[in-house]
Amino acid sequence: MSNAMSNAVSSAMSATMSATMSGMPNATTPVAHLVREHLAARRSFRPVGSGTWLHGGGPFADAEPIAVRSHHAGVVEYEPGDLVITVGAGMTWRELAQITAAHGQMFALAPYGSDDSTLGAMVSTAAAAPLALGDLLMRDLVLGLEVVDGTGEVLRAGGRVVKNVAGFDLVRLFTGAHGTLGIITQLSLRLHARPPLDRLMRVTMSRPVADALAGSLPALIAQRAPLPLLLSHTPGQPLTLWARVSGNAARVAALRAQLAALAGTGAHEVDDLGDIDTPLDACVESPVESSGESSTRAGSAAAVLSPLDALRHTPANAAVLRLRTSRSDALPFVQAVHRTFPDASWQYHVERGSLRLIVPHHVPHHVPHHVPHDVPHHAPSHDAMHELDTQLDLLYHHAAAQGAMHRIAVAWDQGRAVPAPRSALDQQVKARFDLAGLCSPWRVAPEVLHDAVVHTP
Amino acid sequence: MSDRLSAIVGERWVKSRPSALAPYDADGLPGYHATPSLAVFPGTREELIAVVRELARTGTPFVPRGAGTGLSGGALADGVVLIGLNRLTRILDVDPVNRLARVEPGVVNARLSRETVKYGLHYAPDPSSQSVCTIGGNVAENAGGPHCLKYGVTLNHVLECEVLLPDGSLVRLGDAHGESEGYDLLGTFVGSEGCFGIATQITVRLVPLPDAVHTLLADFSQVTDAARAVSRIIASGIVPAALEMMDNATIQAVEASIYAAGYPVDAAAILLCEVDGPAEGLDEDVAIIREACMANGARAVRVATEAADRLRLWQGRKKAFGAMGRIAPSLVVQDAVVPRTRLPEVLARIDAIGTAHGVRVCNVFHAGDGNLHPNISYDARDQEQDARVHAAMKDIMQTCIDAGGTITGEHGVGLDKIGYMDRLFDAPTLDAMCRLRSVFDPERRANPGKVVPVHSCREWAGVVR
Repeated sequence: MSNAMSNAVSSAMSATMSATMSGMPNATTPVAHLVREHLAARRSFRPVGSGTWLHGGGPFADAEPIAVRSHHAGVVEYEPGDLVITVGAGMTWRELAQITAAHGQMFALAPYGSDDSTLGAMVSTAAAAPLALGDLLMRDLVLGLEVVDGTGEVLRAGGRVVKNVAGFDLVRLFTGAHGTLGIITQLSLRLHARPPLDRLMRVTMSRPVADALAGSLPALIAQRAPLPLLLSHTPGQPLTLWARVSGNAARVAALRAQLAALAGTGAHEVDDLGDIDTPLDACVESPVESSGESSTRAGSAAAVLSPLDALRHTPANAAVLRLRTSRSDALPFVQAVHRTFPDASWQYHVERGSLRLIVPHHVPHHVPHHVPHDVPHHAPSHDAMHELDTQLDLLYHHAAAQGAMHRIAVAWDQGRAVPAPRSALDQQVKARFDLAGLCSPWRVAPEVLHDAVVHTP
Repeated sequence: MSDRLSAIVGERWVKSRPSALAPYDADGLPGYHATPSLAVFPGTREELIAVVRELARTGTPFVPRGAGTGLSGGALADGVVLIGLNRLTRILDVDPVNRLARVEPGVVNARLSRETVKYGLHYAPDPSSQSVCTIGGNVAENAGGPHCLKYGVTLNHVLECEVLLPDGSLVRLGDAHGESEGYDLLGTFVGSEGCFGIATQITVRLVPLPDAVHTLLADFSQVTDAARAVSRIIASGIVPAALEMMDNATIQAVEASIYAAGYPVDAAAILLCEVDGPAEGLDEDVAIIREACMANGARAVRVATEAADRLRLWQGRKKAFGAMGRIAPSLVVQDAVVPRTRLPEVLARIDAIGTAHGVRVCNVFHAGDGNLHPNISYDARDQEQDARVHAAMKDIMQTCIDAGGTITGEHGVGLDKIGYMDRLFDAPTLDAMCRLRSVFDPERRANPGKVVPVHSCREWAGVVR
């Protein structure tokens, strides 16, 4: 999000909102009412926010959407001094960013996808994000939830304080449950004060990608500074290292110097791209290939993407996978990805050892007739899925041949498919929170990922 | 039962005589005593599994126990089998490249940091009892500590657990290397207070030791000034490694003990604030924090950069509970959290509650998180005193609930806080917690009677839904 935009919005908002806001008594009533109606009629249902969820890889279960945004989209309570905000689950990330920026605060991460996605969807999918402040995860930032569970009960889990161990942790249960146990209607989120400086920096590596990987990855894995790092590759472009460098001027200068050393020989100097959410000049190319019309940017008011926004962007007609393995296998793993998927873009998250793989041109040959209307129609075809399957087999082979010791886990990116409840415990959870099996009924995961966890030979 | 368990672990490791069970009739919560029917101490993972399977076969309830330092009565076993995990003390692997350690539940928290320091790593969560408390107990309670302000609580450091369910089956929750599939059951297991099963192996994240650490001691003549300084520091965008407050009663207790740290004895409150990270930029952070303190009425700010000085300042903080223990036979260490901005009024209210009930409350707490520890030294054997202390505690808890806070930030509900659960959560939410527990322990044999009051569980109360 741009600063200029946030300033404009915040000044408009300050006229109508005070720092501490409250309101919306019985906020869950509309959604609880709808859920109970569906339960009584034995009709299946699923939560829908902005409809920007990155679906794909059907077939989809036929479940009626319950709109969260129209009922729960406002601020419930915001006391900036507490660095905690309670909002309706239908509020979008963009709205949250604008409200918090007015008080010099922010939500620590900006997930992949659109600024117009709802916070309810982001928490439901435990959405991943590039270059989060302090490498924090969604799970670390959700303090409390109001949920209408699959039995129609309104639950108020967690609280509005940053430390809380009272009772069993329902907040963790619903975070990342993909809406299969209930519908989140309200959330209390942990915020962070903006550090004095919060810069996005970039180092372009001029050497061939394989050499640049060999020259930088071992040092990146071993580095010890508090420095969120992302290594990105787009076909036809040099390997690029991104970092979020935060703190006071002296610390930022020191970390910047370290960054230059980490990129290894043959790297260009470190570009300071300014504040993490500053838009870059329009002439700068997006680091992620944009094939066809954007699925996540359509209708966005932001004409100019910030570099971070560009990293978060997901092109249409692409299969997006999340791969993860041990950090100690980073070099053989990333090299195998590069070799196996020469046409793909990817981003390697150094701290987590996870890689977001964007395989282009997964154009569907047919769209299943029962795909809900609010789902972008870019589910990969069976042929494309089969090809991906073959490529993943090759990836394991290449990684092992190059010395990878650990298994590689593969999963669809957020929302692409809800994993079927595989473990007995997961099935028990589903049965106890969605007795009737009507709440976001399990979608069948695509064939290729039925056994997402594959061991290297 | 005793014979069957002896056959598994050896006669020496099953205690059933009252004299042998006496050491296990209490934990860190004063005034509560309960005697287990017997106590069993498996020496290996395999013995532990065999013990739990035997208990499952016979439908016997049990309570897992680590070092028994818990402060909420969670490790008390009232007429049921107590399983002591303090013999399972192996550090199974340390993987310095991936910054992971896999440990057995009985490994002592501080030992893990000591054994990984050679790699420049440490285990970050640091409860004050870290010199004796176990990682298994930390996982059960989702333990915190002063440095959790920056580094996160136990939950943020546990990547994978092998869990022995009460029915004797083994499950793996989380994934140390890959993506974890399905629901975040590891997230629900951490902090489940022994009610979901026993972690037999725990994989934790190790964190690089910071290059440099500076510790500030700020001295205030008003408690509310110190509380305001806390808000100012947090609002600056600096995330201190720790930000602790101690009031005058605590300072007096510490300075009169062998842990005397050189705190100003006439101060109404002190703040202990630590910043760490790359050496560059630390002085600037220290300057901002110093300014935040002075602008809010601090009389003086002292900065310790040498390890010995810093250690002395921290020793006073970490041993404050021990120092208070000198004053009277019993010490109740309370735990509650309030929104940070409510600290000044809540501290004033706690002071008034202490006066009203004629008890002396010492506050030493994680101010940066709003995590209060109001402590009362007293004599639990004196029934009249005991009643006054409990009345004061009840008022303090209600004050924290009314301020929008919670009844525990890091010590757990256990037995001590179970009476407050109805005030904090509504009936459907408590029932949902019961449903979650039933996933792991449908017979509710693991740590029975703790955390959620049984009357709030519809399934168990026999209500047909």
